Amino acid sequence: MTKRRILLIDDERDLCLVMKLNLERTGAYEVTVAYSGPEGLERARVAEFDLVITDFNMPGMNGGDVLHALKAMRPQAPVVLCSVYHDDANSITEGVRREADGLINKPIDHAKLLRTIEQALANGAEG
Amino acid sequence: MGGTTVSRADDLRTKLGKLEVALSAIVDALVWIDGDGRVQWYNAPFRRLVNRPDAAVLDARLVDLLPLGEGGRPLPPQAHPVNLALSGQPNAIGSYEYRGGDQPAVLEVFAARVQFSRQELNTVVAIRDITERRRAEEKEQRLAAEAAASAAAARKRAAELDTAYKELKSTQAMLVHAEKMAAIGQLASGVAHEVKNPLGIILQGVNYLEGRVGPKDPEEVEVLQMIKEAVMRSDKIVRDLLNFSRQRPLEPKPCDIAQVIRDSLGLVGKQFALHNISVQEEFTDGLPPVVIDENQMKQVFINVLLNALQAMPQGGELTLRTAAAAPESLPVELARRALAMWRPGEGAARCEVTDTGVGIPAEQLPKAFDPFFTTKPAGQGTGLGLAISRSIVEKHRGGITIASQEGRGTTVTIALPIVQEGAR
Repeated sequence: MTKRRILLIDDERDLCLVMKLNLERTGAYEVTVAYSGPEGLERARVAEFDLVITDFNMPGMNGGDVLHALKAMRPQAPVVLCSVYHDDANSITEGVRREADGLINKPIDHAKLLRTIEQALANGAEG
Repeated sequence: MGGTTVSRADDLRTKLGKLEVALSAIVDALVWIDGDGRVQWYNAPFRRLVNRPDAAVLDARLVDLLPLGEGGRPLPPQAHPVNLALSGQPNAIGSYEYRGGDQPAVLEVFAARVQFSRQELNTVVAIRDITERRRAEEKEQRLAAEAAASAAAARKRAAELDTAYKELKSTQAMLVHAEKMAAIGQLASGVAHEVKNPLGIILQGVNYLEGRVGPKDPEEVEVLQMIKEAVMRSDKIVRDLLNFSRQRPLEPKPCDIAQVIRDSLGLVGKQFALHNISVQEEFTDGLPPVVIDENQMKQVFINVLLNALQAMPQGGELTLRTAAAAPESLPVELARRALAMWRPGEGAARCEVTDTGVGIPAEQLPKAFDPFFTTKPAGQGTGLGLAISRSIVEKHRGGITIASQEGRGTTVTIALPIVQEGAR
Protein backbone atom coordinates (compact mmCIF):
# COMPACT_ATOMS: atom_id res chain seq x y z
CA MET A 1 0.00 0.00 0.00
CA THR A 2 1.40 3.37 -0.95
CA LYS A 3 1.88 5.89 1.79
CA ARG A 4 -0.48 8.87 1.94
CA ARG A 5 1.30 12.16 1.49
CA ILE A 6 0.39 14.73 4.15
CA LEU A 7 1.38 18.39 4.28
CA LEU A 8 1.39 19.73 7.85
CA ILE A 9 1.36 23.53 8.29
CA ASP A 10 1.86 25.01 11.76
CA ASP A 11 4.04 27.85 13.03
CA GLU A 12 4.87 25.79 16.15
CA ARG A 13 7.96 23.90 14.92
CA ASP A 14 8.27 21.35 17.73
CA LEU A 15 4.62 20.46 17.39
CA CYS A 16 5.12 19.84 13.66
CA LEU A 17 8.12 17.65 14.29
CA VAL A 18 6.57 15.43 16.95
CA MET A 19 3.31 15.13 14.97
CA LYS A 20 5.35 14.12 11.92
CA LEU A 21 7.14 11.47 14.03
CA ASN A 22 3.84 10.09 15.31
CA LEU A 23 2.16 10.03 11.91
CA GLU A 24 5.10 8.52 10.09
CA ARG A 25 5.59 5.85 12.72
CA THR A 26 2.20 4.40 11.77
CA GLY A 27 3.77 3.51 8.42
CA ALA A 28 0.73 4.85 6.60
CA TYR A 29 1.82 8.44 6.01
CA GLU A 30 4.65 10.50 4.64
CA VAL A 31 4.65 13.95 6.19
CA THR A 32 6.04 17.21 4.85
CA VAL A 33 6.08 20.16 7.27
CA ALA A 34 5.79 23.88 6.60
CA TYR A 35 6.00 26.57 9.27
CA SER A 36 3.82 29.24 7.72
CA GLY A 37 0.90 29.66 5.34
CA PRO A 38 2.95 30.97 2.39
CA GLU A 39 5.56 28.23 2.86
CA GLY A 40 2.79 25.60 2.92
CA LEU A 41 1.25 26.97 -0.28
CA GLU A 42 4.64 26.91 -1.99
CA ARG A 43 5.08 23.23 -1.02
CA ALA A 44 1.59 22.45 -2.29
CA ARG A 45 2.38 24.17 -5.58
CA VAL A 46 5.51 22.11 -6.29
CA ALA A 47 4.29 18.74 -4.98
CA GLU A 48 1.01 16.89 -4.76
CA PHE A 49 -0.47 15.91 -1.35
CA ASP A 50 -3.32 13.59 -0.44
CA LEU A 51 -4.23 15.73 2.56
CA VAL A 52 -3.26 19.03 4.20
CA ILE A 53 -3.44 19.71 7.92
CA THR A 54 -3.17 23.39 8.72
CA ASP A 55 -3.26 25.35 11.94
CA PHE A 56 -5.83 28.15 11.98
CA ASN A 57 -4.12 30.65 14.23
CA MET A 58 -0.86 31.65 12.51
CA PRO A 59 0.83 35.02 12.20
CA GLY A 60 0.45 36.66 8.80
CA MET A 61 -1.71 34.30 6.80
CA ASN A 62 -4.24 32.38 8.85
CA GLY A 63 -5.54 28.86 8.27
CA GLY A 64 -8.73 30.13 6.65
CA ASP A 65 -6.76 31.95 3.94
CA VAL A 66 -4.50 28.92 3.46
CA LEU A 67 -7.56 26.68 3.13
CA HIS A 68 -9.03 29.03 0.55
CA ALA A 69 -5.86 29.16 -1.54
CA LEU A 70 -5.41 25.36 -1.39
CA LYS A 71 -9.00 24.74 -2.49
CA ALA A 72 -8.49 27.16 -5.39
CA MET A 73 -5.39 25.19 -6.38
CA ARG A 74 -6.80 21.67 -5.94
CA PRO A 75 -10.46 21.52 -4.92
CA GLN A 76 -10.52 17.76 -4.40
CA ALA A 77 -7.58 17.54 -1.93
CA PRO A 78 -8.98 17.40 1.65
CA VAL A 79 -7.87 20.01 4.21
CA VAL A 80 -8.13 19.57 7.96
CA LEU A 81 -8.15 22.70 10.07
CA CYS A 82 -6.86 22.64 13.63
CA SER A 83 -7.40 25.39 16.14
CA VAL A 84 -7.54 26.41 19.73
CA TYR A 85 -10.88 27.89 18.98
CA HIS A 86 -12.63 25.58 16.65
CA ASP A 87 -15.98 26.40 18.20
CA ASP A 88 -15.43 30.12 18.20
CA ALA A 89 -17.85 31.67 15.74
CA ASN A 90 -15.92 34.91 15.76
CA SER A 91 -12.65 33.51 14.46
CA ILE A 92 -13.69 30.72 12.12
CA THR A 93 -16.48 31.80 9.83
CA GLU A 94 -19.26 29.49 8.77
CA GLY A 95 -17.88 29.60 5.21
CA VAL A 96 -14.44 28.41 6.28
CA ARG A 97 -16.06 25.75 8.46
CA ARG A 98 -18.02 24.40 5.47
CA GLU A 99 -15.01 24.51 3.18
CA ALA A 100 -12.82 22.49 5.54
CA ASP A 101 -12.93 18.69 5.31
CA GLY A 102 -12.25 18.29 9.01
CA LEU A 103 -11.86 20.32 12.17
CA ILE A 104 -9.76 19.30 15.14
CA ASN A 105 -9.38 20.98 18.47
CA LYS A 106 -6.00 21.58 20.08
CA PRO A 107 -4.31 20.00 22.00
CA ILE A 108 -4.40 17.22 19.44
CA ASP A 109 -4.57 13.67 20.71
CA HIS A 110 -2.92 11.24 18.32
CA ALA A 111 -5.75 8.71 18.17
CA LYS A 112 -8.25 11.45 17.46
CA LEU A 113 -6.00 12.92 14.79
CA LEU A 114 -5.81 9.56 13.01
CA ARG A 115 -9.60 9.25 13.01
CA THR A 116 -10.01 12.78 11.64
CA ILE A 117 -7.43 12.15 8.88
CA GLU A 118 -9.01 8.87 7.80
CA GLN A 119 -12.46 10.41 7.74
CA ALA A 120 -11.27 13.36 5.64
CA LEU A 121 -9.46 11.05 3.21
CA ALA A 122 -12.56 8.86 2.89
CA ASN A 123 -14.77 11.91 2.27
CA GLY A 124 -12.24 13.25 -0.25
CA ALA A 125 -12.29 9.92 -2.10
CA GLU A 126 -16.10 10.02 -2.27
CA GLY A 127 -16.18 13.61 -3.46
CA MET B 1 -47.71 130.66 108.42
CA GLY B 2 -50.25 131.44 105.66
CA GLY B 3 -47.37 132.59 103.48
CA THR B 4 -45.74 129.26 104.06
CA THR B 5 -48.92 127.46 103.06
CA VAL B 6 -49.18 129.57 99.92
CA SER B 7 -45.58 128.98 99.06
CA ARG B 8 -45.98 125.25 99.73
CA ALA B 9 -49.06 125.17 97.53
CA ASP B 10 -47.16 127.06 94.85
CA ASP B 11 -44.31 124.69 95.28
CA LEU B 12 -46.59 121.68 94.88
CA ARG B 13 -48.31 123.22 91.87
CA THR B 14 -44.94 123.83 90.26
CA LYS B 15 -43.92 120.26 91.00
CA LEU B 16 -47.21 118.93 89.66
CA GLY B 17 -46.71 120.95 86.48
CA LYS B 18 -43.20 119.60 86.14
CA LEU B 19 -44.47 116.06 86.80
CA GLU B 20 -47.06 116.49 84.07
CA VAL B 21 -44.38 117.72 81.67
CA ALA B 22 -42.14 114.82 82.70
CA LEU B 23 -44.90 112.25 82.27
CA SER B 24 -45.66 113.68 78.85
CA ALA B 25 -42.05 113.42 77.84
CA ILE B 26 -42.04 109.65 78.02
CA VAL B 27 -43.11 107.69 74.98
CA ASP B 28 -45.87 105.65 76.59
CA ALA B 29 -49.39 107.00 76.80
CA LEU B 30 -50.59 107.21 80.38
CA VAL B 31 -54.20 107.59 81.59
CA TRP B 32 -55.62 107.72 85.03
CA ILE B 33 -59.27 106.68 85.30
CA ASP B 34 -61.61 106.66 88.25
CA GLY B 35 -63.64 103.71 89.52
CA ASP B 36 -66.22 104.24 86.77
CA GLY B 37 -63.59 104.07 84.08
CA ARG B 38 -63.71 107.77 83.25
CA VAL B 39 -60.58 109.65 82.32
CA GLN B 40 -59.23 111.88 85.12
CA TRP B 41 -55.83 112.67 83.73
CA TYR B 42 -53.68 111.77 80.75
CA ASN B 43 -50.39 112.71 79.24
CA ALA B 44 -49.57 114.19 75.85
CA PRO B 45 -48.76 110.85 74.12
CA PHE B 46 -52.26 109.64 75.06
CA ARG B 47 -53.83 112.71 73.48
CA ARG B 48 -51.80 112.12 70.34
CA LEU B 49 -52.88 108.48 70.33
CA VAL B 50 -56.61 109.12 70.61
CA ASN B 51 -56.27 112.31 68.56
CA ARG B 52 -59.21 114.16 70.12
CA PRO B 53 -59.69 117.58 71.80
CA ASP B 54 -59.23 117.67 75.57
CA ALA B 55 -62.95 118.25 76.09
CA ALA B 56 -63.79 115.00 74.38
CA VAL B 57 -61.22 113.13 76.42
CA LEU B 58 -61.59 114.30 80.00
CA ASP B 59 -64.28 112.39 81.87
CA ALA B 60 -64.99 110.21 78.86
CA ARG B 61 -65.02 106.45 79.36
CA LEU B 62 -61.60 105.08 78.47
CA VAL B 63 -63.15 101.95 76.94
CA ASP B 64 -64.84 104.20 74.38
CA LEU B 65 -61.67 106.14 73.66
CA LEU B 66 -59.61 103.00 73.24
CA PRO B 67 -61.37 100.58 70.89
CA LEU B 68 -59.25 97.41 70.76
CA GLY B 69 -59.35 94.28 68.62
CA GLU B 70 -57.81 90.85 68.35
CA GLY B 71 -57.32 88.72 65.24
CA GLY B 72 -58.96 91.42 63.09
CA ARG B 73 -62.19 91.55 65.18
CA PRO B 74 -63.30 93.99 67.89
CA LEU B 75 -62.50 92.84 71.41
CA PRO B 76 -65.63 91.85 73.40
CA PRO B 77 -66.21 94.43 76.21
CA GLN B 78 -65.59 91.92 78.98
CA ALA B 79 -62.16 91.13 77.49
CA HIS B 80 -61.06 94.79 77.28
CA PRO B 81 -58.10 95.21 79.63
CA VAL B 82 -59.60 98.36 81.12
CA ASN B 83 -62.80 96.47 81.99
CA LEU B 84 -60.70 93.62 83.34
CA ALA B 85 -58.94 96.09 85.65
CA LEU B 86 -62.24 97.69 86.64
CA SER B 87 -63.79 94.31 87.39
CA GLY B 88 -61.11 93.69 89.98
CA GLN B 89 -58.18 92.10 88.24
CA PRO B 90 -55.17 93.76 89.88
CA ASN B 91 -52.96 93.78 86.79
CA ALA B 92 -54.12 93.36 83.23
CA ILE B 93 -51.61 93.28 80.44
CA GLY B 94 -51.80 92.29 76.84
CA SER B 95 -51.19 93.39 73.29
CA TYR B 96 -54.08 94.31 71.04
CA GLU B 97 -54.88 95.80 67.68
CA TYR B 98 -55.87 99.47 67.96
CA ARG B 99 -59.03 100.15 66.00
CA GLY B 100 -59.21 103.92 66.64
CA GLY B 101 -56.47 105.20 64.31
CA ASP B 102 -56.14 105.63 60.55
CA GLN B 103 -53.30 103.13 60.35
CA PRO B 104 -53.33 99.64 61.81
CA ALA B 105 -51.37 99.67 65.03
CA VAL B 106 -50.56 97.28 67.81
CA LEU B 107 -50.77 98.48 71.41
CA GLU B 108 -49.46 96.93 74.55
CA VAL B 109 -51.88 97.87 77.32
CA PHE B 110 -51.04 97.66 80.99
CA ALA B 111 -53.77 98.48 83.48
CA ALA B 112 -52.89 98.68 87.19
CA ARG B 113 -55.30 99.34 90.06
CA VAL B 114 -54.37 102.08 92.38
CA GLN B 115 -56.05 102.32 95.78
CA PHE B 116 -55.98 105.95 96.99
CA SER B 117 -58.23 105.24 99.95
CA ARG B 118 -60.75 102.70 101.02
CA GLN B 119 -63.43 104.26 98.89
CA GLU B 120 -61.36 105.56 96.09
CA LEU B 121 -60.22 102.85 93.79
CA ASN B 122 -58.61 104.10 90.57
CA THR B 123 -56.76 102.64 87.67
CA VAL B 124 -53.66 103.75 85.83
CA VAL B 125 -53.36 102.57 82.27
CA ALA B 126 -50.10 102.63 80.37
CA ILE B 127 -50.28 102.17 76.62
CA ARG B 128 -47.29 101.56 74.40
CA ASP B 129 -47.36 101.53 70.61
CA ILE B 130 -45.49 98.35 69.67
CA THR B 131 -46.43 98.34 65.97
CA GLU B 132 -42.83 98.72 64.83
CA ARG B 133 -41.52 96.18 67.30
CA ARG B 134 -44.24 93.72 66.29
CA ARG B 135 -43.43 94.27 62.61
CA ALA B 136 -39.77 93.66 63.30
CA GLU B 137 -40.65 90.51 65.25
CA GLU B 138 -42.88 89.26 62.48
CA LYS B 139 -40.18 89.97 59.92
CA GLU B 140 -37.70 88.13 62.09
CA GLN B 141 -40.08 85.18 62.40
CA ARG B 142 -40.67 85.19 58.65
CA LEU B 143 -36.94 85.27 58.01
CA ALA B 144 -36.40 82.48 60.52
CA ALA B 145 -39.13 80.41 58.87
CA GLU B 146 -37.61 81.10 55.47
CA ALA B 147 -34.18 80.14 56.78
CA ALA B 148 -35.61 76.96 58.28
CA ALA B 149 -37.36 76.16 55.02
CA SER B 150 -34.23 76.75 52.99
CA ALA B 151 -32.21 74.70 55.48
CA ALA B 152 -34.73 71.88 55.12
CA ALA B 153 -34.51 72.19 51.34
CA ALA B 154 -30.73 72.10 51.58
CA ARG B 155 -30.89 69.01 53.79
CA LYS B 156 -33.27 67.36 51.31
CA ARG B 157 -30.96 68.26 48.45
CA ALA B 158 -27.98 66.91 50.40
CA ALA B 159 -29.85 63.67 51.02
CA GLU B 160 -30.69 63.45 47.31
CA LEU B 161 -27.06 64.11 46.45
CA ASP B 162 -25.98 61.48 48.92
CA THR B 163 -28.33 58.94 47.35
CA ALA B 164 -27.17 59.90 43.86
CA TYR B 165 -23.56 59.63 45.02
CA LYS B 166 -24.17 56.18 46.47
CA GLU B 167 -25.84 55.07 43.25
CA LEU B 168 -22.95 56.50 41.28
CA LYS B 169 -20.48 54.68 43.52
CA SER B 170 -22.29 51.40 43.06
CA THR B 171 -22.52 51.94 39.29
CA GLN B 172 -18.84 52.80 39.27
CA ALA B 173 -18.08 49.66 41.27
CA MET B 174 -20.06 47.65 38.73
CA LEU B 175 -18.21 49.31 35.86
CA VAL B 176 -14.83 48.77 37.51
CA HIS B 177 -15.80 45.17 38.10
CA ALA B 178 -16.88 44.74 34.47
CA GLU B 179 -13.66 46.36 33.28
CA LYS B 180 -11.62 44.15 35.60
CA MET B 181 -13.40 41.10 34.25
CA ALA B 182 -12.74 42.21 30.68
CA ALA B 183 -9.04 42.74 31.42
CA ILE B 184 -8.79 39.37 33.12
CA GLY B 185 -10.64 37.81 30.22
CA GLN B 186 -8.23 39.32 27.72
CA LEU B 187 -5.24 38.22 29.75
CA ALA B 188 -6.71 34.77 30.23
CA SER B 189 -7.40 34.35 26.57
CA GLY B 190 -3.84 35.41 25.73
CA VAL B 191 -2.41 33.01 28.28
CA ALA B 192 -4.71 30.25 27.10
CA HIS B 193 -3.44 30.52 23.54
CA GLU B 194 0.16 30.53 24.61
CA VAL B 195 -0.40 27.48 26.81
CA LYS B 196 -2.42 25.48 24.27
CA ASN B 197 0.49 24.92 21.90
CA PRO B 198 3.00 23.67 24.49
CA LEU B 199 0.25 21.42 25.81
CA GLY B 200 -0.17 20.09 22.29
CA ILE B 201 3.53 19.34 22.03
CA ILE B 202 3.50 17.55 25.41
CA LEU B 203 0.48 15.51 24.38
CA GLN B 204 1.98 14.55 21.03
CA GLY B 205 5.26 13.78 22.81
CA VAL B 206 3.45 11.46 25.21
CA ASN B 207 1.65 9.86 22.24
CA TYR B 208 5.08 9.29 20.69
CA LEU B 209 6.55 7.75 23.85
CA GLU B 210 3.47 5.56 24.30
CA GLY B 211 4.41 3.91 21.04
CA ARG B 212 7.96 3.32 22.31
CA VAL B 213 7.16 1.66 25.64
CA GLY B 214 5.61 -1.75 25.57
CA PRO B 215 3.43 -3.74 27.98
CA LYS B 216 6.60 -4.89 29.75
CA ASP B 217 7.16 -1.38 31.10
CA PRO B 218 4.09 -0.87 33.33
CA GLU B 219 5.75 1.94 35.27
CA GLU B 220 6.53 3.92 32.14
CA VAL B 221 2.98 3.37 30.88
CA GLU B 222 1.63 4.64 34.20
CA VAL B 223 3.87 7.72 34.21
CA LEU B 224 2.86 8.54 30.64
CA GLN B 225 -0.78 8.16 31.62
CA MET B 226 -0.21 10.58 34.50
CA ILE B 227 1.37 13.12 32.15
CA LYS B 228 -1.55 12.75 29.78
CA GLU B 229 -4.06 13.34 32.60
CA ALA B 230 -2.11 16.38 33.73
CA VAL B 231 -2.26 17.74 30.17
CA MET B 232 -6.02 17.16 30.11
CA ARG B 233 -6.41 18.90 33.45
CA SER B 234 -4.41 21.88 32.23
CA ASP B 235 -6.44 21.90 29.07
CA LYS B 236 -9.62 21.99 31.13
CA ILE B 237 -8.32 25.05 33.01
CA VAL B 238 -7.45 26.73 29.73
CA ARG B 239 -10.88 25.93 28.32
CA ASP B 240 -12.53 27.35 31.45
CA LEU B 241 -10.46 30.49 31.01
CA LEU B 242 -11.46 30.79 27.39
CA ASN B 243 -15.12 30.21 28.28
CA PHE B 244 -14.83 32.89 30.89
CA SER B 245 -13.20 35.42 28.62
CA ARG B 246 -15.18 34.62 25.51
CA GLN B 247 -18.49 36.36 26.08
CA ARG B 248 -20.75 33.94 24.30
CA PRO B 249 -23.80 35.82 23.00
CA LEU B 250 -27.07 34.97 24.73
CA GLU B 251 -29.69 32.92 22.95
CA PRO B 252 -32.64 33.91 25.11
CA LYS B 253 -36.08 32.40 25.02
CA PRO B 254 -38.92 32.22 27.55
CA CYS B 255 -38.27 29.45 30.08
CA ASP B 256 -39.80 28.04 33.22
CA ILE B 257 -37.04 28.73 35.72
CA ALA B 258 -38.07 25.85 37.99
CA GLN B 259 -37.71 23.47 35.06
CA VAL B 260 -34.23 24.85 34.28
CA ILE B 261 -33.22 24.21 37.90
CA ARG B 262 -34.76 20.72 37.80
CA ASP B 263 -32.85 19.94 34.59
CA SER B 264 -29.61 21.18 36.13
CA LEU B 265 -30.23 19.05 39.19
CA GLY B 266 -30.95 16.12 36.91
CA LEU B 267 -27.40 16.34 35.55
CA VAL B 268 -25.68 16.27 38.95
CA GLY B 269 -28.44 14.92 41.22
CA LYS B 270 -27.04 11.39 41.51
CA GLN B 271 -24.04 12.74 43.38
CA PHE B 272 -26.31 14.27 46.04
CA ALA B 273 -27.90 10.88 46.73
CA LEU B 274 -24.44 9.29 46.88
CA HIS B 275 -23.32 11.84 49.46
CA ASN B 276 -26.35 11.32 51.67
CA ILE B 277 -27.84 14.71 50.83
CA SER B 278 -31.62 15.06 50.69
CA VAL B 279 -33.06 17.51 48.20
CA GLN B 280 -36.14 19.64 48.98
CA GLU B 281 -37.88 21.38 46.11
CA GLU B 282 -39.97 24.40 47.06
CA PHE B 283 -40.93 25.74 43.67
CA THR B 284 -43.72 28.29 43.30
CA ASP B 285 -46.30 27.15 40.77
CA GLY B 286 -47.36 29.39 37.94
CA LEU B 287 -44.35 31.70 38.02
CA PRO B 288 -44.26 33.78 34.80
CA PRO B 289 -41.51 32.66 32.39
CA VAL B 290 -38.09 34.28 32.40
CA VAL B 291 -36.35 35.07 29.12
CA ILE B 292 -32.97 33.40 29.43
CA ASP B 293 -30.31 31.45 27.59
CA GLU B 294 -31.24 28.08 28.99
CA ASN B 295 -27.83 26.46 28.49
CA GLN B 296 -25.87 29.28 30.03
CA MET B 297 -28.23 29.51 33.03
CA LYS B 298 -27.97 25.73 33.47
CA GLN B 299 -24.21 26.21 33.65
CA VAL B 300 -24.83 28.68 36.49
CA PHE B 301 -27.13 26.37 38.45
CA ILE B 302 -24.85 23.37 37.96
CA ASN B 303 -21.98 25.45 39.31
CA VAL B 304 -23.97 26.50 42.35
CA LEU B 305 -25.24 22.95 42.93
CA LEU B 306 -21.72 21.48 42.74
CA ASN B 307 -20.49 24.08 45.23
CA ALA B 308 -23.32 23.05 47.57
CA LEU B 309 -22.37 19.40 47.10
CA GLN B 310 -18.77 20.09 47.99
CA ALA B 311 -19.86 22.08 51.04
CA MET B 312 -21.63 19.02 52.49
CA PRO B 313 -19.06 16.19 52.60
CA GLN B 314 -20.86 14.69 55.62
CA GLY B 315 -24.29 14.87 53.97
CA GLY B 316 -27.05 17.33 54.70
CA GLU B 317 -29.99 19.02 53.10
CA LEU B 318 -30.26 20.96 49.88
CA THR B 319 -33.26 23.25 49.41
CA LEU B 320 -34.21 24.71 46.06
CA ARG B 321 -36.71 27.57 46.00
CA THR B 322 -38.30 29.78 43.38
CA ALA B 323 -40.70 32.64 44.00
CA ALA B 324 -41.88 35.86 42.43
CA ALA B 325 -40.49 38.89 44.25
CA ALA B 326 -40.64 42.67 44.09
CA PRO B 327 -37.18 44.11 43.28
CA GLU B 328 -37.06 46.05 46.55
CA SER B 329 -37.65 42.87 48.58
CA LEU B 330 -34.46 41.24 47.24
CA PRO B 331 -31.18 41.13 49.18
CA VAL B 332 -29.80 44.66 49.18
CA GLU B 333 -27.16 44.34 46.43
CA LEU B 334 -29.62 42.60 44.13
CA ALA B 335 -32.31 45.15 44.92
CA ARG B 336 -29.97 48.04 44.13
CA ARG B 337 -28.96 46.43 40.87
CA ALA B 338 -32.54 45.61 39.92
CA LEU B 339 -33.82 49.08 40.71
CA ALA B 340 -30.99 50.64 38.72
CA MET B 341 -31.21 48.41 35.66
CA TRP B 342 -34.72 47.08 35.36
CA ARG B 343 -37.63 48.76 33.71
CA PRO B 344 -40.35 50.05 36.03
CA GLY B 345 -42.83 47.29 36.81
CA GLU B 346 -40.44 44.44 36.13
CA GLY B 347 -40.62 41.85 38.88
CA ALA B 348 -38.04 39.28 39.86
CA ALA B 349 -37.90 35.53 39.68
CA ARG B 350 -36.05 34.80 42.89
CA CYS B 351 -34.17 31.49 43.00
CA GLU B 352 -32.48 30.20 46.11
CA VAL B 353 -30.12 27.28 46.60
CA THR B 354 -29.59 26.59 50.28
CA ASP B 355 -27.24 24.01 51.74
CA THR B 356 -26.57 22.94 55.32
CA GLY B 357 -22.85 22.69 54.67
CA VAL B 358 -19.66 24.10 56.11
CA GLY B 359 -20.42 27.70 55.16
CA ILE B 360 -18.02 30.42 54.05
CA PRO B 361 -16.00 32.49 56.56
CA ALA B 362 -17.21 36.10 56.59
CA GLU B 363 -13.83 37.45 55.47
CA GLN B 364 -13.90 35.24 52.36
CA LEU B 365 -17.44 36.11 51.29
CA PRO B 366 -16.56 39.34 49.46
CA LYS B 367 -14.00 37.46 47.36
CA ALA B 368 -16.29 34.57 46.46
CA PHE B 369 -17.03 35.94 42.97
CA ASP B 370 -13.44 36.98 42.20
CA PRO B 371 -11.87 35.03 39.36
CA PHE B 372 -9.29 32.47 40.54
CA PHE B 373 -10.46 32.71 44.15
CA THR B 374 -10.96 29.18 45.44
CA THR B 375 -10.99 27.40 48.77
CA LYS B 376 -10.90 23.98 47.16
CA PRO B 377 -7.81 21.75 47.24
CA ALA B 378 -5.35 22.10 44.36
CA GLY B 379 -6.64 20.58 41.16
CA GLN B 380 -10.29 20.63 42.24
CA GLY B 381 -11.27 24.10 41.18
CA THR B 382 -9.98 26.91 39.03
CA GLY B 383 -11.82 29.56 41.04
CA LEU B 384 -13.72 30.56 37.94
CA GLY B 385 -17.08 28.87 38.58
CA LEU B 386 -18.74 31.69 40.47
CA ALA B 387 -16.99 34.37 38.40
CA ILE B 388 -18.41 32.82 35.23
CA SER B 389 -21.80 32.35 36.92
CA ARG B 390 -21.92 35.97 37.92
CA SER B 391 -20.98 37.16 34.46
CA ILE B 392 -23.70 34.99 32.92
CA VAL B 393 -26.36 36.11 35.41
CA GLU B 394 -25.41 39.75 34.91
CA LYS B 395 -25.62 39.39 31.15
CA HIS B 396 -29.26 38.47 31.81
CA ARG B 397 -29.58 41.78 33.76
CA GLY B 398 -29.91 39.62 36.86
CA GLY B 399 -27.94 39.41 40.05
CA ILE B 400 -26.38 36.72 42.23
CA THR B 401 -25.41 36.98 45.86
CA ILE B 402 -24.29 34.69 48.67
CA ALA B 403 -25.28 34.67 52.32
CA SER B 404 -23.41 32.26 54.53
CA GLN B 405 -22.79 31.31 58.13
CA GLU B 406 -19.77 29.26 58.96
CA GLY B 407 -20.82 25.84 60.21
CA ARG B 408 -24.47 26.48 59.39
CA GLY B 409 -24.71 26.65 55.63
CA THR B 410 -24.94 28.86 52.59
CA THR B 411 -27.71 30.35 50.50
CA VAL B 412 -27.08 31.52 46.97
CA THR B 413 -29.77 33.87 45.68
CA ILE B 414 -30.20 34.56 41.99
CA ALA B 415 -32.69 37.15 40.77
CA LEU B 416 -33.73 37.40 37.13
CA PRO B 417 -36.09 39.97 35.65
CA ILE B 418 -39.52 38.74 34.68
CA VAL B 419 -40.12 40.44 31.36
CA GLN B 420 -43.63 41.81 31.04
CA GLU B 421 -45.65 40.53 28.10
CA GLY B 422 -45.67 43.10 25.34
CA ALA B 423 -42.72 45.01 26.85
CA ARG B 424 -40.22 42.71 25.27
